[in-house]
Amino acid sequence: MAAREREDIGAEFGRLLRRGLIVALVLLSLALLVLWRADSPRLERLRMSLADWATPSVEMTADPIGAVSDMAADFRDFTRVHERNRELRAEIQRLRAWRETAQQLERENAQLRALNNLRLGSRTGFVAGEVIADSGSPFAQSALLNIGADDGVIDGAAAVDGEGLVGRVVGVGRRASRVLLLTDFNSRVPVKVLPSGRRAILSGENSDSPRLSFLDALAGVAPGDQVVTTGDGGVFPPDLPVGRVAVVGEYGARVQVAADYERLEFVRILLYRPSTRIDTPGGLIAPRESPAEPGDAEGAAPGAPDAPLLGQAGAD
Amino acid sequence: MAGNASRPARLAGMAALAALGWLAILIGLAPIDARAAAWPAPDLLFGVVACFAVRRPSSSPAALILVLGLARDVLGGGPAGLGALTLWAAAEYLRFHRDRFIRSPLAEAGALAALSLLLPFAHLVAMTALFAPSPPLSVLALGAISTFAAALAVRVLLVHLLRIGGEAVENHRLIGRAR
Repeated sequence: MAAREREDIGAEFGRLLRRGLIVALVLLSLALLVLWRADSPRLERLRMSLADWATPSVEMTADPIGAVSDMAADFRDFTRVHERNRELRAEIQRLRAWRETAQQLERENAQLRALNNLRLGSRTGFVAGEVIADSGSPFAQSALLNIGADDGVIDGAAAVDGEGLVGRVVGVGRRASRVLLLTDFNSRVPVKVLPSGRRAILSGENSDSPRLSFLDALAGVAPGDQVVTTGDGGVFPPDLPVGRVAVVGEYGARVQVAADYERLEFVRILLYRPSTRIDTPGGLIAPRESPAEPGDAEGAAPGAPDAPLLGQAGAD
Repeated sequence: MAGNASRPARLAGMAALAALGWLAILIGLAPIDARAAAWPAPDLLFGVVACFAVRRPSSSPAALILVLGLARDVLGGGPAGLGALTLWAAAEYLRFHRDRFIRSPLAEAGALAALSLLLPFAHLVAMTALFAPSPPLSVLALGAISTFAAALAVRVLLVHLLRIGGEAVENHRLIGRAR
């Protein structure tokens, strides 16, 4: 009889415990929802802690699925191989012309930078990573990369692929980081439209063509115009290609993003240090050293003094 | 009978749900096409949980379903917690009416279709209440269609290939049913 009573008490205790656990989990879910809406960075840290832990299994699953997806894409390409070949030949011709122009501009750029020895050239390094997961939900447009703080990735850095800007880093774990794509609702990037030079904010709307918000006037903006970053705020390097104006209508303009989101496999995270203008003696302070910069030196000004040199100048 | 299911069998069922649920989350996250206008990825976790809630209610406790839902939400990058709550609500509905669904596969398919539509709709309502932007209805509708198709495929896979058969239950309490 006593044993039966003990068993009943134990069962009742177990039931209470389970219900308590469920209530706690429901409250946790509600708290996370409120946290997501009110304070995204804190939740982002939580996300990245879980992502760090889950990265190996995410990579293991992504590889075979990616292989199957690639096979399907390759088969599609194979069926239109002749057409693709013609496109590639035309592309090579175009790129040859661009190479000549780029070399010419590079020479001119080096000469101009050498003339201005009071300005530190911005230094942009990069670290490349593989996309191992996407959001998997229509409510968010993001990608998880297999590189993190250990590789030198910093929060807010720009992510680019071979075509142009992909998005920005919004969460950094030790071994993983999350990139918010330009198409996400929460993405806002300051851009300018060339050749008119009009400035605007590129706002994601969960569609393939983000909107140009705060464009002061549509005059001088036409479909096909190039859209690049302004570098305002010093978060992104200036003049990164973003895309081209796709539509200009009564209610504003939309941009066709240059990045290839359909086959987003590898991206580069730019480790950008904005240039430092020396206006006053107080400005002679060496810029803070960022962590590791594996791909550093890309885009460094040929004639510009580097950071340690400036530090010595400040000491003097 | 669920009440008669042995403790090791229940634990094995829970382990299977946890493993299959985690696999469903990972597959759902696999990067295939990151375009906003691409066909949305199906909610595979819903398919796995639905199958277990109907056939192995004693092995699919609410706490485990909530934990899986939270893991999916946190890893995915969307609104955290919302997916877990709606998944749990859907699982409890399926568990409550499971006797009918086991008797009639058509009724089960109908319930899966209705829930595939209702879950994104519930997300939409919650996002509107929180003044958060939501994707277009057309994208959500495509997601519902792919989720329904995936849920049917998962059901066939689990029932016919992995032999996860139905078990009867003794009561219909909503919370704390799994023992």
